Amino acid sequence: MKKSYAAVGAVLAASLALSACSGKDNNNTASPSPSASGSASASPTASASASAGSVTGTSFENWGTYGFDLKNTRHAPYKEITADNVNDLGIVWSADLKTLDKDVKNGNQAYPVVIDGVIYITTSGNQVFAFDAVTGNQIWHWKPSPEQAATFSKSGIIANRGVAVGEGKVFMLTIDNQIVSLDQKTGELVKMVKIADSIEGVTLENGYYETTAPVYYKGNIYIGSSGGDNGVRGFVNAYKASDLSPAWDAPFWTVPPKGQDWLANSKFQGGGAVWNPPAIDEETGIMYFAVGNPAPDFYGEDRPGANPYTDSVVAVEAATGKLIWAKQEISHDLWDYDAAASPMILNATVKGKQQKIVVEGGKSGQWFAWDAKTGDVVWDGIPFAKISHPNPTPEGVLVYPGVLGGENYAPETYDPATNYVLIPGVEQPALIKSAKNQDEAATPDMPGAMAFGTTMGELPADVETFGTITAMDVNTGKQAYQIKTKDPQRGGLTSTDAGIAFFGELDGKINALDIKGGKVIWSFQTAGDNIQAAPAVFTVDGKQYITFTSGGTKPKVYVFALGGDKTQGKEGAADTGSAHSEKK
Amino acid sequence: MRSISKTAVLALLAAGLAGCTGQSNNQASPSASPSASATATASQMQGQEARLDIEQTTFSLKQWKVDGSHNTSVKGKFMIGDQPVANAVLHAGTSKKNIVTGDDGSFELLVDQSLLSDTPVRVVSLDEAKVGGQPLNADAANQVKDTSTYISVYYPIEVSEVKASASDANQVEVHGQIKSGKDDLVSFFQIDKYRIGGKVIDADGNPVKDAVVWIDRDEGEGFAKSTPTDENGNYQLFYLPEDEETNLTVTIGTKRYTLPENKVYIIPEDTSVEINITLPKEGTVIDDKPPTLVSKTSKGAMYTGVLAGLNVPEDVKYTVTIPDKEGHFVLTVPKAAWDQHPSFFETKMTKFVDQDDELAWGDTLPSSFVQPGANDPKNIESVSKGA
Repeated sequence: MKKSYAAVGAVLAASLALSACSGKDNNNTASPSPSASGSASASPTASASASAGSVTGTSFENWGTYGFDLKNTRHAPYKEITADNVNDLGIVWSADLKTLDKDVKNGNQAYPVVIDGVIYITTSGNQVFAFDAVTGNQIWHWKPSPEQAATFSKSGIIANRGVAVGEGKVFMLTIDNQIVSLDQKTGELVKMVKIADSIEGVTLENGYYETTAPVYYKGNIYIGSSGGDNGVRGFVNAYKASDLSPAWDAPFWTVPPKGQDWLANSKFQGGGAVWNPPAIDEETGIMYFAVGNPAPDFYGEDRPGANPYTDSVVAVEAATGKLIWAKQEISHDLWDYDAAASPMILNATVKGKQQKIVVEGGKSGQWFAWDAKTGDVVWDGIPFAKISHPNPTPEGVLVYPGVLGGENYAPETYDPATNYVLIPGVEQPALIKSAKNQDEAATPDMPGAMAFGTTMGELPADVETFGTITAMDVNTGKQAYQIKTKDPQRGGLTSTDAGIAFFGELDGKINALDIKGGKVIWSFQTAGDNIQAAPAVFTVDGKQYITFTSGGTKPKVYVFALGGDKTQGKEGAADTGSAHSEKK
Repeated sequence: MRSISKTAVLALLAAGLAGCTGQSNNQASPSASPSASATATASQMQGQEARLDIEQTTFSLKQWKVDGSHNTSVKGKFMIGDQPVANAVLHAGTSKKNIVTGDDGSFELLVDQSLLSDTPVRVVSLDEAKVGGQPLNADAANQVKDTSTYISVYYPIEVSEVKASASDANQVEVHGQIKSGKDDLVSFFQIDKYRIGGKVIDADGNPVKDAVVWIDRDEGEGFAKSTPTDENGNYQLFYLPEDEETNLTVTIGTKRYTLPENKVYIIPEDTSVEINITLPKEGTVIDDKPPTLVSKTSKGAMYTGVLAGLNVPEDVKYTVTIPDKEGHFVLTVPKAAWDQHPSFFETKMTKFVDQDDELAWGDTLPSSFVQPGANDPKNIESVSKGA
């Protein structure tokens, strides 16, 4: 057995140069044989690991990147698990991440990537695990040095959304703004570079941090930036996967430099974080990303105009970062309505015709679609949440959606059979106060210091909080249905060719939705809580598996399949992401 | 000789095939390594000047535009005498992007005209470089490796008047203007952030070292992190105040101290503040009353803005005013220094100023305050008004 692997490996290595040129960057190249490892991600090292026999299985269908494919459709062509047999799903294995390493932090928002029978996940606090997908055996584990971890354990926001895999390496961004590349086979550190080495001032001290999963495409990895609400200048940049040197001449900045254009007249400004991975059209080389809100978030007097490119979807050339088009969802945002979630590229039926479009649901509670090539509006802000947002006043106003959205970072999925986009929604208003006008609030020219102290925090408004899943008919731009979920939808959805979509809940339940019927047909209480990332679906030797992570105070990873253990856990406490917890 | 260089070409071709999609760096075929006899030698290049010729190296600052038109592409060539240097690797500015010269020595750079800068363009690798189809040997490479040039983006400076200072005959007053593009607001100089600073001590009154103070907004998503406390327990952070409930935490290693449950700050606006924190002897909850938590407003603010200055020896003291919106400023400088025709620099500076009075346009700053950063444009020749 081992011998035959080795022989195949050698052939693979020889043909690598060719397969690397095929432009298949999504790692999902399905194959009935071990040559599945000959996808773009597979380097000679990956086939070597197969020959070492450390991974269970001989044929693999993958979940090769954050959004399944570079278009972020999150729709996998697997159909062993159906509406008829879904109740036979159970746990194949699960692992408590804090048991595996005590330094794993609370909360988890990692979207698993699965390649050739290996699951790659990250944790809060920037650890990376590689597991045998079928057995749960830990293949390798990487954690930052205690010194580095100490830097970001001080951060309030330590979530990480996952890895990119390419050229035999696993890439992750750290909370302290570094790019890490690890050997895909061993997990050994290949290289770690500071983003500040190529973009001056991108430091935690300046309010920048990184939570996003990078994406690998054609020799580059693409990254966004967090920290818009701290008034940083948001950007997207590209780095060469080979040596992590910059691949673009300059980052694409999402807002002007301080002192120019709409930032000419005021202090405390900027924003425009890019919280989540871009979608990339491999046919055109165009990349689309969503841009967050302007800063300051609730006070807009001194940032006149529409504030481009905040709350927008921007299309650039992936090879160069050159602007192609930009479309804004919310002009002059006063409510923290980021375009947070990754856009999706769809080949869909739109108004009766086939069209390639880019779609995105905003924290505004509105869903948008544009022509992928031109940016022409297809569907313009179709509501999927309660919308009522008067301008903030110093006294405070209750606005719908609240600061969590709408649709937060949680990604949508697209089911081609029904032509529905499924939107994960949050129904939770917020009491928003504008910062006082600068004149009113001006400090009097008085000598000496004025003492002040702490005060009781205001209790949250007594309002109903829940979640929704909206099926948007891409053809008509109308809701096909909307279902209500107990807690806000914070993780996102994943669908398959069997017509079902999987999504987690904040109480630790994992559910299956019959996409056509709009009914939840399966629900399983895991032993964890706060599922805040969407599942990945993959196969090993033809058998279909589902994997996902849970967060809260007991972060875990799970693998489900038909015939697994049906022992359920206790309902977890939902952390809805209000005060004191990480957001976005 | 001929057969060897043919081999090299074949090897190169093979490398080119293997290395699509920019992966050539780590996929270079080992056979591509050239034979020593086929190199361009130093003696062949003796007396030949190596140059990075760029079609335009100075640009007027152009404001950021939503259509991206502030970005300009410029072309250049890397030449030794009249021979192009192919396959050399260049870097521009602080970006570590590898710019590889083409067969005719050409390369292209993106200039972001919205950013004040001197962007050095320099050679970082000649390992794969070829002149006349042949690799450079060590001597030749050594000779040209320090070739560099730079691209400058700045506001032109116009001097309208130079007159003797009324108060000191040895000084002149130079009236200048930082010139913007039409309809652009040039100059701004204003408060950017405020400071939260103070001391962290333990229950026995000893300063705590390496503690980090964090604030985060309860409703919004902003946060700010301090520098670790020094041996005297001092910390500071700069933040973006919004009128809302703010949490404060102190972390030392993995230990995290917080305010009592449901207690928050509403930090006064438009002022820096001093917060002195005494950590509890037991537990992790800070007793949020004086003397264990003392909070008061304090002076100073962080400013950001564009300033102009003069390239004069360090011992030459001068003053310059903060430019107004149209960019007008006044320099007061020893006449002897001005008579040397010093060039100007411009800097977009961010600096904390520890004083009660707010700085404003027209205020006078000492030259010690106005220092250019490493990448600020430093060789700006002023033009006389009407010239």
